[in-house]
Amino acid sequence: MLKRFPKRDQIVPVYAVGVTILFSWSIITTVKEILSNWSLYFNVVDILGLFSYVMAGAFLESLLLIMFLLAACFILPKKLLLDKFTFRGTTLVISILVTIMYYYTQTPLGDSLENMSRLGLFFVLALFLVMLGELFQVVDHLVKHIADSCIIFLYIYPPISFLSILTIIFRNLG
Amino acid sequence: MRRISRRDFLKLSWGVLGGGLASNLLPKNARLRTSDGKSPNIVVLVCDAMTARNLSVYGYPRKTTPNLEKIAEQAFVYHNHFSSGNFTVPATSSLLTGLRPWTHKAINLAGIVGNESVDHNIFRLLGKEYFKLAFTQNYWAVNLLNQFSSDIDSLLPPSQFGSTDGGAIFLKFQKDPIIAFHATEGMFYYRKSILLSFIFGLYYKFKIGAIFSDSYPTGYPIAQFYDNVFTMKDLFDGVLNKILELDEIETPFFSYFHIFPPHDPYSPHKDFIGMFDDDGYVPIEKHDHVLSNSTSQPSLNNERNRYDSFVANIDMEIGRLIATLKEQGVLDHTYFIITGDHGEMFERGTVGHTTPMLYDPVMRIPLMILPPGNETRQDFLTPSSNIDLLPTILHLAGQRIPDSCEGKKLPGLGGDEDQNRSVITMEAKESSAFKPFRKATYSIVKRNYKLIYYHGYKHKYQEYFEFYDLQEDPEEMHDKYLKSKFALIISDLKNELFNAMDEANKK
Repeated sequence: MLKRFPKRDQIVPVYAVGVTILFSWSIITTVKEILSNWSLYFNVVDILGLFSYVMAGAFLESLLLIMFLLAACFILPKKLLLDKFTFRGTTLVISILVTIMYYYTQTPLGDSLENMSRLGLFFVLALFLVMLGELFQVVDHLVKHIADSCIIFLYIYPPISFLSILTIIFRNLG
Repeated sequence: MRRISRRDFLKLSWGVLGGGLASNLLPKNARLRTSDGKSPNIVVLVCDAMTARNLSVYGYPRKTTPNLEKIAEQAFVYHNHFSSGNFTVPATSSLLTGLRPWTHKAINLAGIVGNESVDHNIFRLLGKEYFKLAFTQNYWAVNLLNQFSSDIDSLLPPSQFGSTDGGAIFLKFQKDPIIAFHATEGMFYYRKSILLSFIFGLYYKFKIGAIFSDSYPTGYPIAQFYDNVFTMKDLFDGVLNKILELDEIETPFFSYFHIFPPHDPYSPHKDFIGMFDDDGYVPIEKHDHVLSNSTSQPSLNNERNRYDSFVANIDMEIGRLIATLKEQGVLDHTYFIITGDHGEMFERGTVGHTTPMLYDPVMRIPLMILPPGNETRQDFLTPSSNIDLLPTILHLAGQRIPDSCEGKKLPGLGGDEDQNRSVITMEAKESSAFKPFRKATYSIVKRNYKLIYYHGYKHKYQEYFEFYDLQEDPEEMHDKYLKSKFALIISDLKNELFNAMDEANKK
């Protein structure tokens, strides 16, 4: 059954891309909120508490994302995803997350996904990247290079998540 | 022999007194003590986003509130009662602290009361004599009540009378509710988490947004964006039973019920759906405002119809609640206050209340007070504000009103009918709470006049004034800011507003 899953060294770069995008988005939007709003109400300890919840949430998201990809590997024919997991997995991660980020910037809060047709961008983007990768070796290399470069963030964000989870536990014990 | 309960005793006392107090306006400086020497009970029922403009009890052409009309016959009815803000956070904070938004600082979406004003809350100021209960279905108000939780004896969860568990993740973090609220609200609603927010959106769309039944064919009432589904009957039965329970205790009680209806989504019971769709009423069409979201007139009318039906549903439930409380004798020794936190609008291209505009529909809210045993109607036309509730309640409870309080006692309940009273409402959700507002709208109402001041918005609203003579033009259709005959009153209102702003900026 393990043959239905990619190898560890294929999973790590894909996971790293997800971690990089998810954590970076959360950090940037949270810092903006801290500077414009939360810093006016809360002290440093509380702001670190807020940050901890957001980081723990980003960690949970990264796990959900990689589990989704692994489940897709298990279900889909090998040729579609498993055989080229690093390239296609990275392409999928970038397509999914960029599409949702774009959707967020284009729709008002509380939209509750009323205009889901805009999410069609995901399919277009994913197909376009996969086709480019098939046609041009350089694209394949570029995507893999980006994925490898993102691994550095695995040494930063998951440890922050671990500290964040400890902080949340500590705050809720008192 | 059956022991006479407090309620029986009070019923008897009121019978003997023959409702002496009831036939007259309450003496200006008197608070009511029950005949056993206890302070009266006080119940506040806040209906979220209930505008006075769409209630027939306040003259709306549609018969949306026949029960409130009946209740009004034995109540003090305030016709020009305004909220201090046009959405939940500033409005509810003002109601609960008696302070203007620029003082309590809760002006942003999901904002909270500044540390220096937290102790200035109604629950703290009522003192230890009262048993204090609070309930709200609005999660932003939950956040505010959490700030005051050490002063509240019983703080009910928002899903207390609902059909689901409330669903809000922050409720699981009992030891860290305020920080968990802001963090999870940020992640799930304000899109600080890409995937969690997306999954939450899907969940809301397909699970919560799609719960229907024969009784609620257009969807159940729900506290927006959370898994807090309820029926109107369960909600009002819950409120009723809680009041009856409280009435059994020895100490006087103060209870604050802040229910979500008629806030969007407008989901009336099937008996009310479509009741105004073909009644021939045609709302006055007003030009789209530059700061509106340009909703078309047919959509505005459609949303208005749904809102009005929802209001009629609430009216029926309030009628049922009051009738039962009266029958049980609770109202013989209880002040019952019915109000809203802010209004709702269906005009000028805008539905709802998330708007920089401060026209009458978003800021004029109902206020009806049923004094114990009162049997005659009293109407008050002078402007009042929701910051007036706190000093009025403290007065009724015999507590000291702090000098820092920015509201005044309501006329008829310890206060005067001050013809020169001015009432300020503001909207500054995009500004910092701790600096002079860079983008805000202010409204000041005095006598029949209203000045609106826009500051920091796009186009001409970078710095812009509107002025209305509300007696001649209650629909606020004809801006008379440039008419020379109003120059004096405009200058007076501007001075008053700017002086108040200067004072606020010094704090």
